[in-house]
Amino acid sequence: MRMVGFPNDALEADCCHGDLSLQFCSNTTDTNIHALRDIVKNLPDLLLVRWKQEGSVPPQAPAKPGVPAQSARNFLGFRDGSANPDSNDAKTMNSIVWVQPGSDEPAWAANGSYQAVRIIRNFVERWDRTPLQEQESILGRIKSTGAPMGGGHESEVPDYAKDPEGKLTKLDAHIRLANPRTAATQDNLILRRPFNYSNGVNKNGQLDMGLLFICYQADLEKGFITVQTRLNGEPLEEYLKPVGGGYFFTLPGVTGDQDFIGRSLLNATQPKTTT
Amino acid sequence: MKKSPLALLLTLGLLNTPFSAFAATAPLELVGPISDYKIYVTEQLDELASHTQTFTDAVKKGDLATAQKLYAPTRVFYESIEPIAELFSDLDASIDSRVDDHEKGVKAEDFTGFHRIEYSLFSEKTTKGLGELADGLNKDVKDLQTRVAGLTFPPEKVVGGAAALLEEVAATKISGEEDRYSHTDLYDFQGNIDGAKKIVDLFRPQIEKQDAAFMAKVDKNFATVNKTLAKYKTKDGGFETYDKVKDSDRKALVGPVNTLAEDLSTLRGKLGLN
Repeated sequence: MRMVGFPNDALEADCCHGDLSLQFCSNTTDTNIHALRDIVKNLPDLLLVRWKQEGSVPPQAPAKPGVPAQSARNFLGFRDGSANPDSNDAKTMNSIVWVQPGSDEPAWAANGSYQAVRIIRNFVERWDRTPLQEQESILGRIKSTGAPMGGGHESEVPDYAKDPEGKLTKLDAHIRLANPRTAATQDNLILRRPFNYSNGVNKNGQLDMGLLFICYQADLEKGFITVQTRLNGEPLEEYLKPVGGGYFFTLPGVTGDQDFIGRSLLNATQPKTTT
Repeated sequence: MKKSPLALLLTLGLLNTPFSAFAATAPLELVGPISDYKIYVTEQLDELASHTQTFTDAVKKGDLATAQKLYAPTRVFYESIEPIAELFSDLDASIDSRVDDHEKGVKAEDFTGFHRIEYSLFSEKTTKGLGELADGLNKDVKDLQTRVAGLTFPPEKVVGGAAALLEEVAATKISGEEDRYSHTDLYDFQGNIDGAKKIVDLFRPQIEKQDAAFMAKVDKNFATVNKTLAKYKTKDGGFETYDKVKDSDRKALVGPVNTLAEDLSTLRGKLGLN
């Protein structure tokens, strides 16, 4: 499935789509660059780099015992990933992230995951000129702590049932639209793994930076596409412009030292030998 | 158009706003300027509609020279009231989206409105095949008129509109990316600035009461921008194309524009609107 632009998107063909998404993650940018160069050097006849986006996650202070860990801040200055499902909870990951054997996906896709990538430019100058209260009501969280409106800690769960008119958290607040926390919208949960990016300066003299948004889900329609569709027209759009990205599939992981990435896919596409 | 203060309070939805929101400025003080602003927007939209009719008539008649000439002076009425027009994002997309909003570029089916017509008129230098786009633009502008007529103007959107217009200038006018085929960016530039100045002028007494020094600084920066823009005015009341604007003048505009954007972003706070 090819990513189709959403109403607020201004997709640049030069940083969209592709056959293969490769992600390098390490503690330093240099490690990633060298890993990329190794790949490029070793697969000259197989790979052509279509686009690349570097990103980073600011280091977090170690969590205090008994206190839930805090999410890193994005370039809007807010903690990002607060309501992410627990990636250590295998049951949750099986229902949200991993394609399950016996689903309507092809058999080789089992235990893989759909990856949605979005390069989302942030208009940071404009954001920095926006009053704090307005920033908080647009997102639905307190900037200092990351807590939901009226809360004290990032990990608190907002109770929208008690706020049907949006007096505390506006009905069109980013976190409320993205995750309305109803029984029905549990099907739309996604695992986000975002990075901040900073590329240089735009033609208008404004900083070119934002969020390299990446999320994983077993079903793209139920996951990212539904969530983003709910966000269409949100007040935050005034400060965002998605310019690139695409939909990819993360292959099932290796199961042992005799296994390799992509085995199930290659086996499935192998021409059947007739005897 | 003038209504009794109570009727206006009801129309503007101010009665539902907690009075604490108006710590700095009493709500009644804002009712007058906001209703005056609605009159201004209505007038600008009337102008936009009649100019769009003339413009699209020229397009449909195949009169390329007239259509090219009318393109910029027609759009300017949209630019001056953009923060209100943008409240209807579907119409904003169909009337004013730019080519870079579309992954498929000029060939995108949903690329319609002023900039799509601009592309044909100035890049392809033709009016061929524009009939449907011309009709669509006319229809959308009339639709916008109807929708704005029925709109309750949110006070924070009106006051915040001044800053929003400066953000438009800073983001798309300075770089000359708005009218990339016709290079008539200075018309839009002036339209944004005039629209912002109008809002400031309407709330002038309230702002001056809060902070006279701030008002003086804002006026000074508006004057600097207008003075630079005036250098590029042509005899027929229009503007030179943006490629004629000297690099030094482009840079000289950035400072006052960004300072205005910073200052006007505090206007809501100054008037007690959050």
